[in-house]
Amino acid sequence: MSTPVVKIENLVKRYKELVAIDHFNLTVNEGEILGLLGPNGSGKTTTINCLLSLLSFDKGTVEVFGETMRPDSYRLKRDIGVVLQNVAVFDTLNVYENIDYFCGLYIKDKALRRKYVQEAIEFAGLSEFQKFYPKKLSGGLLRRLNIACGIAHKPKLIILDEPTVAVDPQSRNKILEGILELNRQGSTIIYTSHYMEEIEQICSRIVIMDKGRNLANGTSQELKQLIKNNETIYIDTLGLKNEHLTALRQMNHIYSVEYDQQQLIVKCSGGSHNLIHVLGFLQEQNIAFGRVYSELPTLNDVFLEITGKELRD
Amino acid sequence: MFLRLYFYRLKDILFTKEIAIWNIFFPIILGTFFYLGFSNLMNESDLKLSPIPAAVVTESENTAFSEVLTSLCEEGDDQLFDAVYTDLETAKTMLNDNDVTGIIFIADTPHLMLSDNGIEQTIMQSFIQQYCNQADVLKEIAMKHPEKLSQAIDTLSSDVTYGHEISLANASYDPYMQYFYALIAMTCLFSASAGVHCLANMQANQSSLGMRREVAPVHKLTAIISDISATFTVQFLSVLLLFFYLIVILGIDFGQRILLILLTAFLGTLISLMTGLFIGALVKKNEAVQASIALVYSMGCSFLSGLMVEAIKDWIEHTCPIINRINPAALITDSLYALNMFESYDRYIRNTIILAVMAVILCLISYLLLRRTKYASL
Ligand SMILES: Nc1ncnc2c1ncn2[C@@H]1O[C@H](COP(=O)(O)OP(=O)(O)OP(=O)(O)O)[C@@H](O)[C@H]1O
Ligand SMILES: [Mg+2]
Repeated sequence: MSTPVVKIENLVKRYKELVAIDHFNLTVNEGEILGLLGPNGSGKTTTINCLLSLLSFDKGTVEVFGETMRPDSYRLKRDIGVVLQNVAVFDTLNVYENIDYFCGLYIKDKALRRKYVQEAIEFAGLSEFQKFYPKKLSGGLLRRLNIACGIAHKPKLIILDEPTVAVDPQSRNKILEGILELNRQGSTIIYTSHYMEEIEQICSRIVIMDKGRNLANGTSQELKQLIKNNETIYIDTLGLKNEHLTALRQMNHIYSVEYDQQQLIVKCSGGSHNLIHVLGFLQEQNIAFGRVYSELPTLNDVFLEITGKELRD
Repeated sequence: MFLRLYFYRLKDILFTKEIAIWNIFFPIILGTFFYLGFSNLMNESDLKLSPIPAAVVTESENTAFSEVLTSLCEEGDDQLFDAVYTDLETAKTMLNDNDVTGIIFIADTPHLMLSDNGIEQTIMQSFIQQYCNQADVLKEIAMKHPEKLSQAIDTLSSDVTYGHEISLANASYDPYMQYFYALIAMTCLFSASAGVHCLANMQANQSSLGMRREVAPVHKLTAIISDISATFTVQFLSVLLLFFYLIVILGIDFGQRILLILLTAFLGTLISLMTGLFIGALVKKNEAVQASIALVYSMGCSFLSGLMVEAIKDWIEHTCPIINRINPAALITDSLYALNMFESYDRYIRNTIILAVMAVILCLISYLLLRRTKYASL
């Protein structure tokens, strides 16, 4: 097996009393899009900053491309693209110049750089705004500029820390597609977010973190299999009695039945055709029902089950 | 890489409004106020010239000198001295009682006895000096062309009066040039804020821009030097612009040694920039706090060097001279003053060396402080 692109072992970072990162482990292999999913304050940014050797940490090791990462690992840094959580651009340089500036920190060749900058502008959909100064850009456009500055030089490893905050859904999709494209072109990607939809959409592997710990890791499928729930059925219906609920609870694979405000919520774990069985039961009992739908578990359910709290507050 | 960073940084600084306002317009506006305010004062002090009380003691005969002295003591527009001819004892008493400014000794080589420093004393010295320089010529004229003597004396006296004007324009308590020197010093010292800003933009714990730049594969030293050079360029240009405005537009006379004056400005800008770096590296607070410290530093030093109250610098010179030796603003004003006033370069060289050494020390300390490369907190 080839050396992992990033290998973090037993990372501990304390801010005085607060343990921001608590024995965190992470391995990212070449070609992956790794999603780091966690609520606000779970330590995503801190992890990234330790990984980039910006922050000192109390314990643990960080290796990038098989070498220990240090503040002066300029050779390693050359192959890393970073989009930080806080927008970092020069207010006094326009869109084109900003991208050219940051790209120029990595790419010396002028012609190549011009090409890369142009591609980054396309990528972020900033063609019409090339001459704009950051102050004149909307929040979403500014984010897109921030992304363009980070990825223009086509690095082997791209780290994006919540890059799509404040970006509208349409541009967001475009950016996500762009990230997939960068990945197809060979970049390994670390993507942090607290939007599970985003993470699910693009990531080949997901790490769920909370309170600085790596709670679970795997593909979205694997994570969902970790938990008991694999289907939630919602049925609008009138006049259910307690005995009906009790009967439902005794059916195979059903582990939770609630009835509230004329909506029946049935949670199932494993098994198949659960919906048909539940509806069959209602018909047997001559109970009329309206809207029916069934949901597969989300990452939020995974998170809820692992931590006992919602991913989003 | 260096040049790219440099030029982008240059553009960045030039397009930052605050810098344009504080470094370029503020000094020029202040200079204009000084000019308008003091050009009147300057003219008035010209008119207020009054004869200098002096005691004259004859040690040995010197006809030519006596002749010259007498003609300068005659009442009239160009009367330079108000002379009392007396013996040594009385003269000394008068000097002690401050009845006269000094004692002039008529001798083969005329000389002076003074008890104090000041503008009148300077004039007396200047007179004796002028006379001694030209004594041979005057003697010759007295012997061969007595009729031309008075003309020669006129020349001498106008030279002295000319000396008088120069002294007035530059002496420590003159409100005119001293303020412009202080203005130049202040403009140089504003570089401290620029130094703070420059560094804040490079450090991950100060700004997101700094953070972004620290993850780029650019050697920290390259980044620092290119940014500092760009900042220095802008700062020094703003000082040059101020000089241009003062000298060419307002017609203020800084003397002939313009290159040396610019060297002082160069070093002054450099040391302030280094002070800014030093503040940025040492003070572990956010940029706003550091910038305030830098501002207090530049205004404080300028104040002590006489930007607002001209007597401050003299007062310090008498009470705690070491402050004037290490206050960059005082060193800058003193260098400009010395260049304009004295033939000799001693004082200028001393000040220049102090400035240069301090700049190097600050630079080294800042570098040592900045080498620390990871941050405990961002
Ligand atoms: N400079 C600091 N000093 C003290 N505590 C800090 C500092 N920076 C972060 N923290 C704390 O460390 C923890 C992790 O913060 P971090 O910024 O890594 O979270 P995050 O997962 O990136 O959150 P978000 O989704 O809001 O970006 C938080 O509890 C935060 O309060
Ligand atoms: Mg974060």
